[in-house]
Amino acid sequence: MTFDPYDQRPARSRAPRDPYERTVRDSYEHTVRDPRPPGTRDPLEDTVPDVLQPMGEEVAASRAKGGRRGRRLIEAAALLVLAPGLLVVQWVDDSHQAANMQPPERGTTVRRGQTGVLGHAQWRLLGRDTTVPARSSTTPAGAVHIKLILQVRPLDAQGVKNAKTTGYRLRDGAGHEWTGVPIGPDPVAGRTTQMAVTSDVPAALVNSVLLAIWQKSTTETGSSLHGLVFAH
Amino acid sequence: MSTLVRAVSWLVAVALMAAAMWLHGAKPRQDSKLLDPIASRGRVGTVVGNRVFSVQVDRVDVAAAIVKDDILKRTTVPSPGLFVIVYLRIRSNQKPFMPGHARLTTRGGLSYDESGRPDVSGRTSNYEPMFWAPASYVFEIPKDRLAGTRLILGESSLLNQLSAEVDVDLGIDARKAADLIGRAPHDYVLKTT
Repeated sequence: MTFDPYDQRPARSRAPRDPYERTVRDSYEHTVRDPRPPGTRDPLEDTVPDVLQPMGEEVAASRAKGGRRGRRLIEAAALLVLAPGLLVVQWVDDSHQAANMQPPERGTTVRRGQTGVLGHAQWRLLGRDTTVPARSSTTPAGAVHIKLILQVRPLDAQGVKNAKTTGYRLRDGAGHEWTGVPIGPDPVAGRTTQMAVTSDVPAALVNSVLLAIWQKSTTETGSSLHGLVFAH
Repeated sequence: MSTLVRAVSWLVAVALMAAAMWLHGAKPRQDSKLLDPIASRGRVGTVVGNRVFSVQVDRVDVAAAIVKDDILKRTTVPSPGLFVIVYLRIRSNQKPFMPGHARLTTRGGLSYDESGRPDVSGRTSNYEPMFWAPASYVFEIPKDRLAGTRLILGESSLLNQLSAEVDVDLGIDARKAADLIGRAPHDYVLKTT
């Protein structure tokens, strides 16, 4: 006689079963199989099928088509925004790079005999020294050696530093520029120093070229050229 | 039908990916080609120019060895190939100009920079607007590369994208190249004027 420990009853005599069939009884079986008769169920537990759920094939296809169309519209709108946006970003980036490579020039014209301020220093063009020889051994054919006298008065130590890094050019009205070579003592803060700027320019333009001085300033946002152009 | 659509989709996807890979590799080459310096072409003896500078090649010499006279001794610099010495004049057209990126190109597509030998360097300087001034460049090339050589000269800036450049045909055909090689001196002295 066998004894089923879960049944608590003596097992009836029967043919030996497959041992794999001798599974234990599910203790939660009552939750799966409601033992109550149908009339005694809680009415709230009886649900009705959702009338919206069982869509027909046409409705489902129509909805899917509408969804695809909306998605395509969103994608097209995103493309229309992103493609020009990418071009604008590239253009702005290239512009910044170009501006750093060739900084914009900001020049101020100083009237004849007047004093201009550049880089914490006062600058004044006294005029052309006509006592120097018009030609030397290094003067190119057709050129004239020109010497301009310039005064500089640094207002502070920064002005002295800036004055030492100043660039000198002579310009004509057609946009040509010739190198100017500064000659003179180092400027001193608070004192007026006289210096000369020499250059070789075409003989026909010797009376029309203008002296331009430039200083490059670099900030976090980029660099720029500030300068003075002396009329004489 | 669904299988066919799926297969076509896969093929299109693979083709698009292959095109993207090709574009990824080709774009830098195309960009660099687009940004190449803008060359003005000309021949030896004529003025070749652009808005930045002008050049006129006056003569081209070929030497097997160059001698340099110092105060105490005479130094001979031989070449396993040939020295090509180009004499020219340069004029700036706008602002003070410093030439750069000078090279000699040959018919085979090879390009030669200036000879790096310190004893036989060329002569250039700063060039001002409206004034012609002399210059010279010394190149060293194999003997079989002389015919069809061209001088290319540009601006000195390190980044020379879209900058001005001149491309001068030195006028050396095969017959003239053979003649120059046969007469190449072994005691050539660089001219300074």
